[in-house]
Amino acid sequence: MRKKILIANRGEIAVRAIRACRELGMESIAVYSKADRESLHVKYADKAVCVGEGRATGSYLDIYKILSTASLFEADAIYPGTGFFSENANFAELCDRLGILFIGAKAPILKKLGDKILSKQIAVEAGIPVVPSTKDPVKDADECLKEAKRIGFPVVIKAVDGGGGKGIRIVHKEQDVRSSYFSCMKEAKAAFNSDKIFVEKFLDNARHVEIQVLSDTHGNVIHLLDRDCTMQRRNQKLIEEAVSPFVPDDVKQKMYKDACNVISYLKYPGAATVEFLVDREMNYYFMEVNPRVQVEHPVTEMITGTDIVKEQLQIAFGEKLSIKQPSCPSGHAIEARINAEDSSNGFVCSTGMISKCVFPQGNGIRIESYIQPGYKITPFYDSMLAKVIAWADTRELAIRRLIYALDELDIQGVAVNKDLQKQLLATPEFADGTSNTTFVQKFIDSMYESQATV
Amino acid sequence: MTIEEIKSLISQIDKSALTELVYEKDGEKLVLSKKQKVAPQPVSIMPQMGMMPPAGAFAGAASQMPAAAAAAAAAAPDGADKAAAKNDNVAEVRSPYIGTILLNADDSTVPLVNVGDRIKKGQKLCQIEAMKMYNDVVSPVDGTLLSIEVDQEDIVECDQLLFTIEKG
Repeated sequence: MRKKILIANRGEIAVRAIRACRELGMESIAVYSKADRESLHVKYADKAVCVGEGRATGSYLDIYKILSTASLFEADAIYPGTGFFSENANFAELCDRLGILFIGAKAPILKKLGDKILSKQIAVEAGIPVVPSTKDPVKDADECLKEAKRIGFPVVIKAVDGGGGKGIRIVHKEQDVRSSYFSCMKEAKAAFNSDKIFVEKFLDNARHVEIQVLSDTHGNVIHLLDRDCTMQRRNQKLIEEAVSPFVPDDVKQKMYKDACNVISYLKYPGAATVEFLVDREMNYYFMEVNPRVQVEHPVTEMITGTDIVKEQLQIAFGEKLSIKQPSCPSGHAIEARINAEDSSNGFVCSTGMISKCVFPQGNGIRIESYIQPGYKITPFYDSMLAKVIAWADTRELAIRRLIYALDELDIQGVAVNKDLQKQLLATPEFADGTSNTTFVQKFIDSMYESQATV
Repeated sequence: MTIEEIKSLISQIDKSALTELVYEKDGEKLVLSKKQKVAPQPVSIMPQMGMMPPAGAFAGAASQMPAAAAAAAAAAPDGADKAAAKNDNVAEVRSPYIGTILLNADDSTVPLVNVGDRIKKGQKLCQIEAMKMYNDVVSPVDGTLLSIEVDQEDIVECDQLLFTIEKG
């Protein structure tokens, strides 16, 4: 029997999953909202079912609607992609009870990893260096201040159940602790319905480096080298590359080993990313484990010749990993996220009907997208429209290729961030790797200042 | 002319392709016309899913509805809603759920509603079942049921057209 996979997501990751299903001879069932009728995932899937209104809570995030679609159309498994239900323990548990395979981690693992303090404990138990922090949530503002002083400024005040860039405050001075503590607590309460707060050392000038891990139900654990996602703004990644050009190989080898250890320790079969921060002295610290596919997975696929989504599907059905441990990267790959936002106007989300959409082509260029002319960008979802990935033998050529590709990219009807991406790729800081996770914001601020003084 | 004769004439015209007949004799005048006369009845032959409406079945608001809605939906993602809004007299009832259509009342073979029925706002029109949960679909308006667009045990998706109701 042909296996049926319900793809509980939208956008480019839904299209990506449909392609993986096709190649594996599986039947894809897409779900879509009324605002996504013209999305390519609706067109490409074997079957597409409208699950409600544009607002995600009334469609993609409506557990009852997604699960009733899966059961009515007799799906064997649900592929959650990124975001939405991909790390939702409750959803994973309900799938289990319905006898539908959830392609991701089991509920108990998702619960542990979703709790920032618990996930750090796992890393400590697996013998991996972590950023100094409080072992438990702080009780009140006084304790928060005491702990901040003990750890040493700058610190990050973080929500235990936070994520997606919410519930995070970087504090440089003692007198700012109280106000940050309360505003962070309020934000966490509203966004995650949890006001548990803890304090962590803030690593200034750190790079964001992550390790892609795959493991199967037969006890095989391999890594697919690393990615560097240092170019980010407000905790949202903008440019990602594989592999990191600035972390020395001996340090990387230790990170690979630690990443595989933490996944073995968790006993989670599937795809996972172990995120680390690396400081200027090349000390690395565990940040978190994402037990799902990541937006930036294509750069890893390009340098290892693998298909991470296909592996996920096969692992879920109990098959062995179909690939062997790669020893070194083949070439270099860089991804630029194309977002519908107006860089010249405070980065407000840009909405409207796509009137034209021409994607770049050529040797070493890969596009992941879901839009077509006639698709209307609404404010309901993430602003990412496409990912442009450039591969080349060397990093220098990959950068040049990506800049030329962005030149060719022609999207009309909404404002996109392609000029900002081109400028960032052309900075000396990106070229020589002296950037850190605060670089993009500083670059934007300086551009804005120079424009204001003209 | 006797009543019997008129009745016979009407049934003859009904079967023929004629749309109008004017008969005049000895100061008596009879006008029979098939135009615009068939108001409530053609509703029962409203299209099932995917069928074209009978061309010019009646010039009332309902006949142009499915075609207009389909055209608008093709033109713009939210077009269907706009088409419905454009036609003030007809309310469309669309599925808020994914599930199996149950047109009959509980444990019965009798449909909850039939075409031509007077419908009250809030009246139950059908149930949609999914995962053993039964959700009622109720009428948003007072009016007359113009069409039922689904069959018993059809699987429907969100936003799929279920009923049309002429308001009033």
